[in-house]
Amino acid sequence: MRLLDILYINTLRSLKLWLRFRVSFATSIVAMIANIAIFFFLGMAFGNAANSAVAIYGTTFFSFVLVGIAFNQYALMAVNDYLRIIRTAYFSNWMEILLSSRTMGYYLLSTIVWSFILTTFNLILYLVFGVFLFGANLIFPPNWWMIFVILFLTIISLSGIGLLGAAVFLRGAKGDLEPITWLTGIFAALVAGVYYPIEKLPAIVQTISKFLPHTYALRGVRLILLQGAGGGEIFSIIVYLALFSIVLFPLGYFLFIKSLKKAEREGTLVRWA
Amino acid sequence: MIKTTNLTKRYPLPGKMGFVTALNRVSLEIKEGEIYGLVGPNGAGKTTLLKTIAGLLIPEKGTVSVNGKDIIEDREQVRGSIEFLMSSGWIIFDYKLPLNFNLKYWGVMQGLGLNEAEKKAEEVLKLIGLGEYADASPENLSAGMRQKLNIARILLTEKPIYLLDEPTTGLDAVSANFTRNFIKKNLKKHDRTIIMATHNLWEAEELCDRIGILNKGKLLFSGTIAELKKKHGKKSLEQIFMKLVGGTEI
Repeated sequence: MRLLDILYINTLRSLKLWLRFRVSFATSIVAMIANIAIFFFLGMAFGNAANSAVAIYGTTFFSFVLVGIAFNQYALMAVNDYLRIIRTAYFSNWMEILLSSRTMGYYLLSTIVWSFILTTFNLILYLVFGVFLFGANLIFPPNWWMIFVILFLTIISLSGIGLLGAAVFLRGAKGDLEPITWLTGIFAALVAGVYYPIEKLPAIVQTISKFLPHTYALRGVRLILLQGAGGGEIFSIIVYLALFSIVLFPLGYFLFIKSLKKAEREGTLVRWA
Repeated sequence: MIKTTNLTKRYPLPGKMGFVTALNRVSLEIKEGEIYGLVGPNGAGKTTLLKTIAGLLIPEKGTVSVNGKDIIEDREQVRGSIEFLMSSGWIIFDYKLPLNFNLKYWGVMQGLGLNEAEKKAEEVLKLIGLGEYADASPENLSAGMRQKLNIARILLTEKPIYLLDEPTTGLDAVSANFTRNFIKKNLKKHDRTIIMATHNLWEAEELCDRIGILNKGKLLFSGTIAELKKKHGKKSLEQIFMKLVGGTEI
């Protein structure tokens, strides 16, 4: 019951804050459209060359990238938001209140839920703008259940990495850069196939990409949204994502809790003593 | 009862330059229902002591027990019995959202149900004299009103122990007077134990049953004001304080 109350009040608060900044909202929409337009024009500029690079997906370069950048937002959220929330709580002195009111876990969870809601909203906008303003070709209606399973496992597995990053922050890396989330972000952008098909990259890069859950998630949603693939074809992708989830989430969660308890014991969660 | 024994806490200086001692073997006992004032200059260790008692900072050496519970072994139980008014704690409120929503939010975060938090927010806003500003936002409040809002948050849940970190610092005479009266009339009742850090000697004299004088992490005195005056044989509290902390008398 307490969790539901906190989920409700934190979501309501976040929604009020989000709706308040109307100019910021409007500019984020403009930025989103501009981002989509960049890849639309790239697709136009390189024409057949760009389209032939993604021919194995049976679609155009623009549709391929649109799905990549839209769904990569979940990956960015899951990897970065735990650290962002913990860091904000630490630097804004919220941490002291959260600790003294014994609400840290609830706060973290409810804030992640809000991030998920916001990311889903952005994803829908990306796809709507891509399809209706720029003519992307997506299968509609897709297999929603398969997309849901892939997204769920993507968020769970990448939350493991996100929690690891937050754990590192709690253990003392309180500067601007946290290495785990930073490296994951760099590798994912380079080799997970957000902007180009990994099948066209050197073998070594393809091998590295196999160690990132992003790679499987993006391939899975592309198969569903661009080729209308069903359960059989993406079953192996789901198995890989499930394996990542089984390994990464418990590991991240365990180390995060351990670091939180250690930092509490050492009194390093509190600033300006 | 709150009891600290040989409490020691040091903070590392940047660049492995050694440590600064914030608390140096501080031992004191605070009785249930007592208002205890922590008096000392800036950097004396008052806030460190309050945060250590609250279980937010862990001592390097020594122990703290709250009603027989150790702050390390029984941290969750200890935290559940303490409310901490942080200096400038109003910064946790969103500056654009209405006061009643801000308080409802923190009420829920502190363990109240949604309806209960809404009711309690309304109640404490009236109690603290901000009832008519319930729909206003913190950005439209004066410093004194923001401090009232800060106090309102700690009243959302009933706790036996209140730690107040410089509750009147930065307030004008009227707001400071309101805060002092509020502490006397509302927090003191029901046998709540209050530890209050302050720079203000006459405020401590007016509010506190006993005081502790801290300087450079050391507890120089603990007792009543009368005992302090008797021990040092001077009329002015300020003169005694300056003598103890090594300041210069004007």
